[in-house]
Amino acid sequence: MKITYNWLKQYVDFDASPEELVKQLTMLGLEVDSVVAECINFDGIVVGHVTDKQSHPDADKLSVCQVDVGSEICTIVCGAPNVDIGQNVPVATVGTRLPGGLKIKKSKIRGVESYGMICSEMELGLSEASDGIMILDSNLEIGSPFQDVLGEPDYLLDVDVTPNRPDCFGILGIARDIAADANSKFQRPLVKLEESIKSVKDTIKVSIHDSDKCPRYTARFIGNVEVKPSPLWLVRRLQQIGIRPINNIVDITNFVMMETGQPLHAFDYGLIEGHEIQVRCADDGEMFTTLDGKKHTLNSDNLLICDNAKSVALAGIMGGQNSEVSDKTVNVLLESAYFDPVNVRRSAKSLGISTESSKRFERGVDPNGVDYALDRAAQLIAELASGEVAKGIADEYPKQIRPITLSLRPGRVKLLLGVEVPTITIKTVLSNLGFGVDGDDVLAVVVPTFRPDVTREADLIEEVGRVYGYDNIPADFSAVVQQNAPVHEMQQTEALVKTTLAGFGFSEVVTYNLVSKKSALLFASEDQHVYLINPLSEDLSTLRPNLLVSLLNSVRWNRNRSIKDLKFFELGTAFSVESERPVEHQRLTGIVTGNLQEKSWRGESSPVDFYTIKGFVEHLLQRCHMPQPRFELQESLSVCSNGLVVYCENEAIGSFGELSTHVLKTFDIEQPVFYFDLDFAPFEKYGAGNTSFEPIPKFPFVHRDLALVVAETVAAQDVLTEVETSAGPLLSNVHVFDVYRGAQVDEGEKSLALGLTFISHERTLKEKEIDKQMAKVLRAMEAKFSAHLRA
Amino acid sequence: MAESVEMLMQELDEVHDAFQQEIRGVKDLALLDDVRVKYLGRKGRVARYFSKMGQIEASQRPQFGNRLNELKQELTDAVASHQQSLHSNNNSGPRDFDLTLPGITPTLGFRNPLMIVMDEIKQIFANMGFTVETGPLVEDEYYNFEALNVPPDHPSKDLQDTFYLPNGLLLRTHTSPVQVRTMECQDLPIRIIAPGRCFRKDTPDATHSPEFHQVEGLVIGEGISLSHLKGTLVAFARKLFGRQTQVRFRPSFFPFTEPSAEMDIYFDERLGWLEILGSGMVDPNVLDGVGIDSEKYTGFAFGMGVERLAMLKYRIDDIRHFYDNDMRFLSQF
Repeated sequence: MKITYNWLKQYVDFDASPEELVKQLTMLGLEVDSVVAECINFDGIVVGHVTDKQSHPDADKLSVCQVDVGSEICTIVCGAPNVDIGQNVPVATVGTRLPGGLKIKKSKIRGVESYGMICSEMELGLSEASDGIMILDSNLEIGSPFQDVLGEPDYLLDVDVTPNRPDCFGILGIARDIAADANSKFQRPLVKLEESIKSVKDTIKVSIHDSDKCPRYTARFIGNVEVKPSPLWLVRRLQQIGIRPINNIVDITNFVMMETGQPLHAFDYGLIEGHEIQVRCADDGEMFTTLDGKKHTLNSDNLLICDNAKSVALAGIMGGQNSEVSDKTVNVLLESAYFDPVNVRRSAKSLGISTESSKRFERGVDPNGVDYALDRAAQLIAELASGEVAKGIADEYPKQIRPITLSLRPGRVKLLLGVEVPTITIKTVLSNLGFGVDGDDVLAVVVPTFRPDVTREADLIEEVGRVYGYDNIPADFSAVVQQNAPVHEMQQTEALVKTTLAGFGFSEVVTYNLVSKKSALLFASEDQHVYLINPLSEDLSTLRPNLLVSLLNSVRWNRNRSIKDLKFFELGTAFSVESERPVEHQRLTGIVTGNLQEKSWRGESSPVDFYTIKGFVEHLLQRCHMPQPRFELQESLSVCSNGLVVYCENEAIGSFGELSTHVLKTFDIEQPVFYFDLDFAPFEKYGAGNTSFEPIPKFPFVHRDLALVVAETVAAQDVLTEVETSAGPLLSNVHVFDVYRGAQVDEGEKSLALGLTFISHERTLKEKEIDKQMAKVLRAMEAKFSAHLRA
Repeated sequence: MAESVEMLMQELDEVHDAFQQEIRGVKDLALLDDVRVKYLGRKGRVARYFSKMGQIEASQRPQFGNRLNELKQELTDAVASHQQSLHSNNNSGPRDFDLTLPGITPTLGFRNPLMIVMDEIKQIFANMGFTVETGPLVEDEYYNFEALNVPPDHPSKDLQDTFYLPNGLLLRTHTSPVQVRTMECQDLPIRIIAPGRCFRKDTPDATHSPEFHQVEGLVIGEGISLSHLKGTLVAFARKLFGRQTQVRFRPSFFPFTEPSAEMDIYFDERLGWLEILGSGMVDPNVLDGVGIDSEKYTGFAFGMGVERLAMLKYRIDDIRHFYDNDMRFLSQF
């Protein structure tokens, strides 16, 4: 809601500066989005009077004017078609700099000397476009500064009105809040209407066919209006608040709407057939053309204003072309009504129209304020368009909406706000806001119908609180308990997993859950996906089947910026379809690509490979206290080459491996990418808090190496397992430190170099007993794998 | 009088110590030469003892002579090596060892600043006694709107443009459904926060993202007031933004709280007051809806946008940075 500082001053007395006003409104809950000073410099621009106008001898479209600027009469060449003798106009004298920056100089235009410029509103910076020069009131003093014509410099405020305050969609509502804040009574402008002897009954008949959708409809007849441009003050006011002036009748309806919050509509009475208004629902499929020339197909939920033969307006939303006020209009039918908020909202939404009018109706106007707005507008039409207002109002009000009464306990105010507000203060605040207040222990509060948001005691307490001032409510820390809450186990596991991966050099990414359908289809078939009904775009249309899609997007983003060595992880949600409701899975997913380490001058960077990702997975699981994992070849997934499924306690918890090139191609990635994708639930199950200390051996360990030659087909894992079983309880660790193929090893065979570590917690081990164990191991190797020692 | 050999031997030790002391502080070659002359010169402190050889009893001469020769050699070596070290310092080391080459970068992992701030918020509230609750991202009209006092066809729904799924489901537009779920199943009093992902149909730009994070809070008990809300949230703001942070509360509107308040912090001269969270006393309709007696119990709720807080804290100018995951962004945190 746009208002101006000077405009507000017309309705309520206050001393606050514009900055103070902004603060005051904000602390009342009427947040000010922006405040702009209208600081246009009009120095050197004066009111001039056109005394003579001749055609330019050498240019058809120019005229040579004589303009009295008070101190002298200047010759000015003017190109505007609307300039004429006898007009008062704004003149920029020689030496003036216009708001747009143009400096006015004495100049020769097509051979004729020109001393100044007659200005349009656009040239003065008052509007964004204008048809010709600006024409001023005829009673202004010639030569007086143009600034005086406009009045004091003003400030434009944009107030962010919350949906619960329809009353503040008119400046009067805002003025009422300001008055209450200053503890003064608010009085809306008095309307004095001079009515003609002609009765409205002889001119308009109103009938409402759906009183649920239209509980009240009022109308007035105003005859013999003179449709013309509005006076400067009205034009300026509308321009300031961003409304385009049209003609005095339309401008008045807009102005009164911005003043009272009540939308009005003026019909050309001559175009209302039968001089009768029917408020009815549309037929399904009925067509209607709104003022802006757009055709709409209606349904039976849409409410229409009709005459005897046709529909003339979409109730509360927009009028029709067939009955709008024009230059030819003689008589006006002025409408002010209360339409059901929900119905207006539904209609406006389904038709895709949002207007200043619909915005107000759907939030709820004051059903008992429609006649005030009607009278206010009628008065202005009488004044500014010399209209003759017929006697009385055509007022159909089949569904009376009466103020409700609520109980308010001062004790409850204290309980909810945490501060004792004296009952007398409560009463004053509420009555200043327009509520009726009665009683002492329990207050009986009558809620005015312009406050449809107030329906319960809590709503009244908010009214008291915001005017009393949130600043005056003490901050009480006692609800903040000193004792620490037990840390949720999930939070601990999460922290452990994240710090572990960051320690491995993985960076944590945050990505969208919404991905493109195309990328989701890489990982699961169409019927396994969850699609949005109303996506923003194809790129964000599907809930991701896994986090790989999102991580690959992040890889692509970086690769496109020439950053190619990446290690990313994310702990997030993936979605699948298992019944009617999508199932959400917490996944821990990582991706590694490029070089393991940043390239350095030592040249020791090495590209990541399968064993890199395997190492990360093994150590991640170990660091997070997961049970010893088992890895099995992954066969079902086409997205992956060389993939292993991870089992913990016989439960598959995820997989890792190398992503296949057809997947990477979709993301324009032309380098190998390795991934792990794990279910997070097992981490929580086995996860944090299971660390317990193991004593460090007091006795030295014994280390032995063993180089075995085995067939290519023998899996290292099997060899290691066999070593563990055959080496006896003293073996503490066995690892592969070399794999060799080539000279001295036959084709089809490979050499595995194993390092075995033996330890005892009781004694120093003797070489002999280790020799014995090694011999056992070797025998087992020979028996199981036909292995032999490498020569 | 023949001096006692023991005494002379002790003197040699003193000479040795004095020399060591002195040479340690020598930083240039000229001074080093002074030291050399003082101890090893023809009339130096060591030479003096050679001249005393004659006064020593013959049987003890070899022992003293050996010790003296040792000392001379030791000092000579020390001068030589000190000289070398002075030389090499001037030439900044051998040619194949360039100390100015950059160190090898360790493999670094960074955390997305959004998650850093999220953890910080969780920690602050954990220290105040709040426990963490979570809820599903896919919700329905009831938990996301109706139970929170947002009736169908109400303009306040316009504040939150919603993504819909088939079967009347939707992506939650705020973390507030977790409030409802918690109230349904937890015993009173309640003191929880609910961090998590939310969705709104906003086209991405510098300040909007269709996905974002909130942290929701809920406190329900007997006698809980707006004053407690202020106390809790002021404490929070000062933990997150510093002890001197100026905070203000101003009236606002949310369907699920009444009275409602937004909290602003004073950021700086240029930006002034900035909104950081919405809050209010839980609306009686919400309490009654989950079967909590709103006459007996009251409570407050709050919700904050984590992106906004992270942007303020780190002065990040574009919300999309969090989701692009550009390494040049991540590596700053």
